[in-house]
Amino acid sequence: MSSINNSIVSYQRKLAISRLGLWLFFTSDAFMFGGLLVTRFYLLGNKSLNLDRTLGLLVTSILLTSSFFMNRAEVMVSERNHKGFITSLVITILLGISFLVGVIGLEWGSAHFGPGDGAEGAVFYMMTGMHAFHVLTGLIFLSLVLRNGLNKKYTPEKHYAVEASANYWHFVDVVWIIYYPVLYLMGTM
Amino acid sequence: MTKLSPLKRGVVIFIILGVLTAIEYYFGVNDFPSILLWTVAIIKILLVLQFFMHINKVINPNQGGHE
Repeated sequence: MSSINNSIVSYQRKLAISRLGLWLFFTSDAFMFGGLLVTRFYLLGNKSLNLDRTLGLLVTSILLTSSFFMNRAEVMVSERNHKGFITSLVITILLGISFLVGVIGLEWGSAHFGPGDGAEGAVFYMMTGMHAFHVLTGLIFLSLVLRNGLNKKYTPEKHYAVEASANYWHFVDVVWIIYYPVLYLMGTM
Repeated sequence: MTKLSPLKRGVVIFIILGVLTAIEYYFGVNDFPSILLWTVAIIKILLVLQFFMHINKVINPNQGGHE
């Protein structure tokens, strides 16, 4: 009985350290995204990028919905609902792919400037590109969690990988919550 | 909010985030002052940090377990 208690305490300790490490990573990554945010205002001031606002709203809604399903997946795994967990995770991945198609496939194609067309191009493609890269790595992370989930490697007591991938996905959402108004809604023509 | 089950809480937060995004879009297309857009964005971030990312678990390590 004592060894079981020790094992639980050891796991809780590892969990606390892992969470702290992940949040330290988020903090360091936030500085990078913050730097790009400052660049946008330094180079363009209050000038609008004149992007397709409807498309911006669409991709934002897709990412927001994916965050909801990721939260749902995390709750499902903690409630031992394997089918619900897998379904929510698959929906999250599909929505993440849709977001990438919306930004890289549609938005980049419809923008009235290219990456080399001055400050506007540099700011827009760097900000959306770096964010899209994080979405891509998040999708890889979620795919690994899905593979392990299909092999039933997670339990309500032990599923830190699910929690970490969910937090990473929400972090990517948090970055877009700032980038969306800054790129699409703020500024004058 | 804490009395709700985690599933229902997620739905409520998702609806609030959706409404805030719609408000934000309205502010943006009607050229409202940027401070309003920043305010909405910060409220959305706080909601995600608190209810989706469970930031309390990091601030208070005693909340060690999974939900």
